[in-house]
Amino acid sequence: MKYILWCCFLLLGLSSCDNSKELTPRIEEIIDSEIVIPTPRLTYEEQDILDAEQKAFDEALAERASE
Amino acid sequence: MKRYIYYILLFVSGYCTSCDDYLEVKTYGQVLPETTEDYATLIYTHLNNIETATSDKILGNFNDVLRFECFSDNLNASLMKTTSSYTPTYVGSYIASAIYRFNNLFQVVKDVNIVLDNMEDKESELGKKITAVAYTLRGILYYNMMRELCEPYDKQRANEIMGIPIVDHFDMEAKPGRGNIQVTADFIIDNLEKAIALNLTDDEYILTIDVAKAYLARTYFWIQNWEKTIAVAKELLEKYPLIEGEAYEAMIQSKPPFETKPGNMIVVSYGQGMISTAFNTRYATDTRRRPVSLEFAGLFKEKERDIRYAISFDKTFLNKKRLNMCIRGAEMCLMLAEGYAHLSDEENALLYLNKLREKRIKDYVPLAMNTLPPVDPSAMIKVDAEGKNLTPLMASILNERRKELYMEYDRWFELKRNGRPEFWVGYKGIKYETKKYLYTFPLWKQDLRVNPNLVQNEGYE
Repeated sequence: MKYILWCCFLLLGLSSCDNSKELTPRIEEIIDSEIVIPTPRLTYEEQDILDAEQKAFDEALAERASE
Repeated sequence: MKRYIYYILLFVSGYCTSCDDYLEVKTYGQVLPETTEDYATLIYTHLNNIETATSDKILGNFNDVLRFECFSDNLNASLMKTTSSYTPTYVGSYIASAIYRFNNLFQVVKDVNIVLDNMEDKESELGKKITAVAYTLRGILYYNMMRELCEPYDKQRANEIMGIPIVDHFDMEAKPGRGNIQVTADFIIDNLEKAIALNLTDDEYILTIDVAKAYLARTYFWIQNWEKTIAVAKELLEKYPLIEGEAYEAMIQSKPPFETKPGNMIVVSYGQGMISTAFNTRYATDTRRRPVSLEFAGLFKEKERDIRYAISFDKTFLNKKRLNMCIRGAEMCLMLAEGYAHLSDEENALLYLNKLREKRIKDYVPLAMNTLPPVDPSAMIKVDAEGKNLTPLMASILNERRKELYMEYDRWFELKRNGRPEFWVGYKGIKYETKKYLYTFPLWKQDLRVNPNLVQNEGYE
C-alpha cells in the first residue's frame, strides 16, 4: 500500500511541473513594454531659431499673397 | 476505510495528470480551409483591404501617408497651429504604436504561409493566380518590414545589419532569429521572382506581374543593386510611360471609385468604395494643420510653370495634394535617373531627370551637367544612399523625387535611405528630435519575450 501512495505523490509531483517556464507575461510586464522617448524643453537659443523661422514664414506668406 | 482513502488518492492523482495541455490548441494535421476557393478567401480579404484602403499593412492607407509625411521634413511641425492623433509632431510620437508593426505584418504572412504550404491545387487557373498573389504579398510584406524595421541597407555591412526572421512555413512552435538584411532581401527577391514566373495579368487580383516587378525594382533600389534596378524600372517605364498636363493632374487628384487605374499607376490602393469621411477629414483638415516647409516650397524654382507647384500647396503653403497610396511610372523614371547617377553614367541620369521635368514644367529647358544647380549646403540630406557627398546631379534627382512624390508615402524613407539626417522641431516649448535610431522602428517587447531569438533594434534596448 505504501508503494501505491508513493506512486500517487510522484504523479502529483509530475503533473504540477508542466509548462512552468511558459507562463503568460503578467500584466505589469505588458505595461512596462511601452517605449518612452524623452523630450526636453526648448532652450532660449532654440526658441530664437523658431522665432526666426516663424518670421521667415510670415514674410513668405506676405510675398505669395501679393503675387 | 483505508481502501476508500486509496481510491480517493488514486482519483485525485489521475484527475491532476489527465487535465494537462487541454487548453493548447494545435492545428497539427488540421487545416481549416479545404478547397482552393477557401484558400482564395484568405487572400481576397487582404486584396479587399488594398482596394478599400482599410489596412496599413500592404500599400498603406491615407492615415499612414499623412503620418509618415508628418515624420519627414516636407511639413513644418514647428509652425503647426493645431495637432491631432493623425498628425504626430514627429516620429517619436508614433513609436508606441510602431512596435505593433512587426506583429501586425506577420499576421498577414501567416495567412500567406497557410495558403502556400497547404493549398494542394496550384495548377488550376485559380490555384495559379492565388499562388502568384501569395508570393507577391509575402514579398511586399517583407519589403515593408525591411524598410521600417531594419537599418538602411549598407553594402559593406549587409551581413551584419539585422534582418527580418524568415518565416516561410506555418509553424506555431518556430522561433527564428533575425538573420541579416541580405538574407531578408534575397527572400523578398525570391518571392517576387516566383510570382513573376507565374505571370498573373488579371487586374482583378491587383497584385499582378507588373506589381511584383515594381516591388522588385523597389527592392533592388533599396539594396543598391543599380544595374538590376535599371533593368526592371526601364521595362516598367516603357509600359507605364510618363503622362503630363491635365491627365497628370487628374491622376494625382483622382478620387475613388475608379473603373480603371488612373493615369500610369501600376498599382493603387483605395480604388474601390466611396470616399469616406475619414479620408475627407485627413485630406481637407489634417493635412492642413501645418504648412509645408519653406525649404520644400523653395525647390519649385519654376513656380507656376511647374504643374506640381499649384497641385501641392496653396498660397498659404497648406497642402492641396491628395493622399496617394500608389506606384506609378514617375517613380520608375526617378529610380532610373538615380541608378544611372550611382553608376556614374551622367548622360543617362540626366536623360531620365529631364524626361520627367519636361513633363511637369512648361517651356522647359533641359538641364545639362554645367547648368545643374549647386548643392544646397543647408539641405537636410547631405549624403547619398552609398554615403557619398551629394553631387549637383544627385541632389537634383533627389529634389525632383521629393517634389514628384510629395504626399505619396516616400520622403520619410528617402531620408532614411540617404544618411538618416537628424533634425528637430519645436512645439509649445518642447523640443522633438528625430535621432538616427528613430528611423528604424522597435520590436515589441512582447514579441521579444515570446521568441528569445529575436534581438531588439539599436536605441530601444
